[in-house]
Amino acid sequence: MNGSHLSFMTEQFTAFCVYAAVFFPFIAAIVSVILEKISKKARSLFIISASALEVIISFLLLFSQTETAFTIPYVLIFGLKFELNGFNNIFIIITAIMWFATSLFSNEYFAHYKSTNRFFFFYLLTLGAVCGVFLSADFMTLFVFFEIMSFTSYVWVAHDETNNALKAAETYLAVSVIGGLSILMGMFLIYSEANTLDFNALENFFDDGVNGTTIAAGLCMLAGFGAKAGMFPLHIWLPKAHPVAPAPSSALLSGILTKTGVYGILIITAKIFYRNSFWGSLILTLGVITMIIGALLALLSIDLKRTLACSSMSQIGFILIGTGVFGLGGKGAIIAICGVVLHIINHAMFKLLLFTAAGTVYMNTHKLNLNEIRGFGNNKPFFAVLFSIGSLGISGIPLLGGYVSKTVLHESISELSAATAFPLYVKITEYLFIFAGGLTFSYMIKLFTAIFIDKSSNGITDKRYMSAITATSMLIPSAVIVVSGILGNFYVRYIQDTISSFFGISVSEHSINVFSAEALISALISLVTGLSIYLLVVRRFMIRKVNSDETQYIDLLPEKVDLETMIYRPLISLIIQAMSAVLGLFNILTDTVTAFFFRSGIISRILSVFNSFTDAVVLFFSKTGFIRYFFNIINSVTDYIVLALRKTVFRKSKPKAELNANERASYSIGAFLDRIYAFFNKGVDTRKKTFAQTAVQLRTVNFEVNRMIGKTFSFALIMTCLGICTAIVYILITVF
Amino acid sequence: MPSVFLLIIVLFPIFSAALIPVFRLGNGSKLKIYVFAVTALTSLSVLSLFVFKPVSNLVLKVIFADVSPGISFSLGFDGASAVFSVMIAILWPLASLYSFEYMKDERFHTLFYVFYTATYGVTLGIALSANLFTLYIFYEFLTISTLPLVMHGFNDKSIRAGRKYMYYSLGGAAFAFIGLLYVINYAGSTDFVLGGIFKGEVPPFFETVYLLTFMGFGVKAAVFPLHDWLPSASVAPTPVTALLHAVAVVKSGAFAIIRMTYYCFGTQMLEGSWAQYTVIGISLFTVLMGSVLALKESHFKRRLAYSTVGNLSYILFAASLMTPEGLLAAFIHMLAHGITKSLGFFAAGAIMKKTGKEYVYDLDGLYKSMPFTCICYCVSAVSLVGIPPFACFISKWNICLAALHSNSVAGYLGMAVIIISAMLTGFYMFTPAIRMFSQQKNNAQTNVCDPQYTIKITLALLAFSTFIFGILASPITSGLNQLIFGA
Repeated sequence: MNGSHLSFMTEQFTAFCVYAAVFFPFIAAIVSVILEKISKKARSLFIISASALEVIISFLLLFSQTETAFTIPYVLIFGLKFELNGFNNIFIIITAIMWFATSLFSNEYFAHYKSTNRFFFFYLLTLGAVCGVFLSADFMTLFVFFEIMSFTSYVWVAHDETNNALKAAETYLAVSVIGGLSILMGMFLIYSEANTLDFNALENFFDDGVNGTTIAAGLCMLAGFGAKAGMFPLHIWLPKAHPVAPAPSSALLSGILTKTGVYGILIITAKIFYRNSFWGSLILTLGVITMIIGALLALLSIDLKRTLACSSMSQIGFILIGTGVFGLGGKGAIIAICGVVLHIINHAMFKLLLFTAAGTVYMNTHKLNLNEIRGFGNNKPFFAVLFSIGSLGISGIPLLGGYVSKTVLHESISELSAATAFPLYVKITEYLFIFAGGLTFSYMIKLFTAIFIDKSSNGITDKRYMSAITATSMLIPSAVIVVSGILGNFYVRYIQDTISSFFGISVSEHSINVFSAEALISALISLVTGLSIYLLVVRRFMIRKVNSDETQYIDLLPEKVDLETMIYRPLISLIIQAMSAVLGLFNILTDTVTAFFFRSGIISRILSVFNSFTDAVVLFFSKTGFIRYFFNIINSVTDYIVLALRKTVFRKSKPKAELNANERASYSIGAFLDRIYAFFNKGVDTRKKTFAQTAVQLRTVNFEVNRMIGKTFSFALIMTCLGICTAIVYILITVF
Repeated sequence: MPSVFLLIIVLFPIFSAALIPVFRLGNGSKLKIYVFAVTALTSLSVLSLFVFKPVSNLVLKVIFADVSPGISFSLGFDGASAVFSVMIAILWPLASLYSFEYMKDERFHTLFYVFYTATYGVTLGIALSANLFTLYIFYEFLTISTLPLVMHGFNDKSIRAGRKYMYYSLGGAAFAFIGLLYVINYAGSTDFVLGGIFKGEVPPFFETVYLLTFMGFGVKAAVFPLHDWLPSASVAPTPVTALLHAVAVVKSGAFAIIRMTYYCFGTQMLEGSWAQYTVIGISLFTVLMGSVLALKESHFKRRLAYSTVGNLSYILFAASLMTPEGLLAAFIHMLAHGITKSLGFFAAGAIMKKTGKEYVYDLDGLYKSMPFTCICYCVSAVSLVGIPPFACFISKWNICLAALHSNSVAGYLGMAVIIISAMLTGFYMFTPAIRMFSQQKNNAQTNVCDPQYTIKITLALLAFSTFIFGILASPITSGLNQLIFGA
């Protein structure tokens, strides 16, 4: 790794820091739950200091001496493998900063919220999981932390527990589960091909190209990671989840969680499909579509957070284009990957800033619709400056961060057009790239005008609208955006040096000058396009005059029209319906067959024939004198065992014995005994029950028992068990 | 240690169970202590057998010289027995602990615990059988000793379910009996040897008889089209459903099939035959069917029962790959699913017992009143889908790898089916979970709370072991490998 080393960053200490980065948040999550019981204030402080510690750790890692790999053996299937290098260190640093800033902000945002405990618990868990994703050195580790992250962040989306939130969360969960399994499937295929999941080993293995199975594996993994990144056509969760999630989590979802998906795609591209033209152009195309569709959706939306969410999608498109160019290899690759990393950093900072701003708006107005929040920013110059840094930065105004990364990405596309076999295609990509930049500018103007320039319709009082801590959390990303924009060329050089070793590409000879005339001109073209789109399209078609001095933004994006409700849900339900219809048919078939056998009585009739046969045999023997007694005894043995069981095990369900005149025989025997009794006692009767009653009762019990035997199996079963015991005793005797 | 110890382990629970009505222990704590002592003692002896394995091949053999040379009653303790018996030994005391509180308001305590404890012995008998004949005997006993448990409610519904269970099981055993006679006739002995006991030429009708036997034992493993008893049997009390229909009975079926395939008929003669492809086809079909039917089912426990149908066929699929890897994967899924599904059933049972609600759509907002149970259910759901780092992820991983390494079309197909089924599992397991956590329709009952500590301990231990199984996967996997295939 390039850069200075600190002497105390020995290998052991680096390992400790890496483990701390991943596992410390998990521990902190548990501690935060316990702390909350003591005091809420202590908990908030603890969370802020925990994320601050994470920031310190992440910067310490920057000074470690070498690229190092660590394994925790015996865990899961291959052990957990981590690796630290310049590339993923950058991601760790952004993650830590994002978490630190949002922890500052959520302190105020969640002041009046319920179940914050649950939120912060999962908030810290996700931090650990995200660090795990970025630090992993093989797909298994990456997958494990990726899944943990998906499930812990589900709780964020569902946090408000409104109908919309739950619905969005459901979509998010479905996308996560399906995406996760898709990745898993890809991993199986890769493993069966290469017999390893280590990134570095895979790089060596796939050095000479890939075959069909690997492509299939790659597509599976692309679906999984792309879904998380918000890539078209799997972006469905993104515009839904962001508006309903609390603002700090929107910032993290958009700034970092989508980047884990991008990171996955980057890893696949770099380690498996590097220089594969099919793969590169696929990612490139998907990137272009995502970029354009995201920007158009953002332009049409009139919900503040939804616009920002769609904007995220569009920016992911920019990043994917860079990834695609990188995947195609050649001279543009190192420039492209540098642009990708820069744009990832910048986008994280913009979205942190803008979502925090949106959260501030929401905190004060509890609304997000542009028509309802318009004019919120009137007379709030500080807020306006912060918001404009974010929106101008993301639009690519020179001297701010976004310009630098977009210029580098643009540079890489032009490098590609010089070397490609399809110059027209690359040219179109380049124009669309500039056009999407214009769209970005136009929807950011739309937001800015709505919040700061339009007159407020419902007089919002200019009370204190945010605390100093919230302001700090917005100042951090603003500072990064401004500084990185001004120091553009140094910044690019530094990032290039840091990441080049991971990708194994030598730094290209000529350094990029982001402030060259060409770059400035194309930025200008883009901005002019954006401004004209705003003036010609947005002003004319998306704003309606209600009366002379009041206007209204038109919602051109009906709720119903999206891929999920129109295609995915019907498709999935169709598949499941069809499957259950077919499979259910089989089930009904077996049911009918068994019902035919068991209910139509065929079996019982057959059995009853056998039964009467046995009866006839018994009758035959019993008619012949002495044997009859023998059979009687055998017969009554069962009765008595059953009777004994009824006295012991089945005691609770004792049948009622009632005097029944039909029991003639028993009655007459009883009556006879009664007479004898009367004879000996001279007519004085002091008993509670006569013999006749007792006899009839016994008879009834006997009858009931017989009936029960006929009705249930249990007695027969107890018999069988006794039989088993006898058999076992026999075996035991044979043994000894 | 003399090999009679094996016999004592098997017989001790059965005899102790028989003594319950004799001692007249009543319904109170005396009965509980007695039952728990018996189960714990048995489990401890199984575990000690596992830890201090005295001789490498511990076999007890009683030869019935006068019947046929192939027929002997013999118990042994090899790798496969160790895996199965240890799994039972760990889960049974937990289930007993759970049952004490669950059964508090039920009738017929004595009857229940007699058969419950006796079944322990019978299941251990299946685990420790050293030949097909002994296995078959215990297999029949198992049907009989569990039947009263299924019918425990003694209402029309449970009696019908019990009757169905008995018809299916005894009918299946008849098919298995054909296989038994065939093995005695053509192989000359029924002893289990890894790799099979048939030598030389393939005897006539080998594949057909294998298929018949597979279907025979497959009844207990709920393989299509003989699966229908399992969802019906979920009318039984939860300790029974959890233990018997997620662990003992169904796993005995799967275990019998594994024994028969790998230790008796032998994979060498079966590999690549039409019988293998049929068996793979049936089990994959059952996997899909179980998942889809579970998705359509709105009764909470029956949904889990259908899920069991699907998951058992994962085991059968892995086993029918007929490779050593497949065998290992089958055993791993047996363990992982045993732990996970018992946890799921126990949580569902606690919910149903406490709230009296049986359907998935009644579970809204339950987290408020029963947080602990709901979290345990979620752990089970997450594991069952195959999310790392929980138990079933490990097993599914192994099954898929075994399928891929078998290098056949069936393997790829199987992997695809397993992944699709995992998605369906996600849908049907998370729907109740999401309902539990939603607070929209707040019909939370105020008088409902988490169950008492015995149930809580059981749930917590199971949830913890689900997690540990996932985390410590590689030592567990290599340990199993060594256990089953020797050093």
